[in-house]
Amino acid sequence: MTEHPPSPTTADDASSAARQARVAELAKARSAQGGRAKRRHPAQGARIAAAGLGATTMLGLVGFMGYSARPTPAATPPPAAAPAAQPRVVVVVHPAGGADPVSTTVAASPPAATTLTARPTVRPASPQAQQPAASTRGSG
Amino acid sequence: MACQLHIIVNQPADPLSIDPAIELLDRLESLWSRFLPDSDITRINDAAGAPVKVAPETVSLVQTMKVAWDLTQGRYDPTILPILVANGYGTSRVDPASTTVLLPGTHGTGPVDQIVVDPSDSTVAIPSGVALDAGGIGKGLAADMAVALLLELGALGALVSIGGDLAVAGIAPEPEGWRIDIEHADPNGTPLCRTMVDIGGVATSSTRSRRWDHAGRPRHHAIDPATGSQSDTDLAAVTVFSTTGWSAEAFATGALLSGSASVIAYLHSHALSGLAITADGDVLRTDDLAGLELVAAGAS
Repeated sequence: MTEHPPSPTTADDASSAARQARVAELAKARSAQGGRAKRRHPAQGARIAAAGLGATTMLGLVGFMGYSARPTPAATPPPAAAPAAQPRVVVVVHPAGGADPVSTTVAASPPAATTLTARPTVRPASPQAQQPAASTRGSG
Repeated sequence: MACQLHIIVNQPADPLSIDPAIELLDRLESLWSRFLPDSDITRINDAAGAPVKVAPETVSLVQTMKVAWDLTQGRYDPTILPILVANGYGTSRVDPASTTVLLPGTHGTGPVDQIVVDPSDSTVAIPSGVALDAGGIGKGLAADMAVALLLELGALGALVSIGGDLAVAGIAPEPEGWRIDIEHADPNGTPLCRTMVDIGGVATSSTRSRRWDHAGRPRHHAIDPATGSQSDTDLAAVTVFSTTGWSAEAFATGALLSGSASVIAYLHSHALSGLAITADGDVLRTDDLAGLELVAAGAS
């Protein structure tokens, strides 16, 4: 589907100028912070991907999110920044056999932009990695 | 699903309830378990070829099974259930009172391409004499669905692991990604290696887990559809990293059946990252994982 932008108006021009000024301001601020790449917020991308989709279309959604979360075009205003508050990691383990779940909350390092690719990138974990680990050994 | 559920949520400042994800997984269990007499899967298997009205999630599951069978050239096969039951895996490992009862005449594997899924009518029909089992791919797909739901609910990122079949997406708690340990084929308290994954699914298929004895022989759940019997692969386990949990599970099954001589070529041919452990304990891996360090025995 192709979206056609409306015809420009004076109000649009003013809005566009203000937007460009805002973009420049944010770009300058971002550059001062180390120049992170402009990307659509992954969670936002997920919500966009999931909007209006029923359970039957959830198939492959996680893979699809990689595509829906492409970097935004340079002329488009950047999305709202991620929440400034420090995220928390909630860990809930539900043991097999119906035992009560165990829940803990731990602090996490500030979020960084996720590298969104169609296929996962696998790296060695650094010895300093603090977050709780999941593991895989085969279930069948 | 007879296994441990593990959820990690990277949530924003406002608290996020994971209850909807738990409810989703409970619902999927009720729809997909072959040990429940009124699940969608049991009703499909009991219909002797007639179309069965099922939940939308089950339509997705069976569609996924067919796609996975096609992607793996039949190495993943959703119709091996009669062989598993004949080999002694007819009773739930969690609840011995729950058993899989198949119709008389159900045997071997069936023509997966003749399974008919009608999303518009939400029906599934399988050929007579065939039986489906959600198995590992059900766990992988359930993990994918739960992660998608958590993100839709507002999570910044989420990891869902169902018995070691897991999916991750969104912003990880650490810049390098989500920390996922790969365990030894025979777990000894120390992981084989530790990885960081940014997005997608991870699954391990193993001949060392889910073992039982039947008719005086040790059995495992890895069935080779080509022979219709228990696989004699010389691999103990294969871990695959893919775009989704369900595809990781399907390709892990396909890779396990490849054997040590061709498992890496198999993974490369599907552009997958993966790691295999032979029955002798040797570790094989795709080129991109050459930098992974194996954890020394006894290390914490």
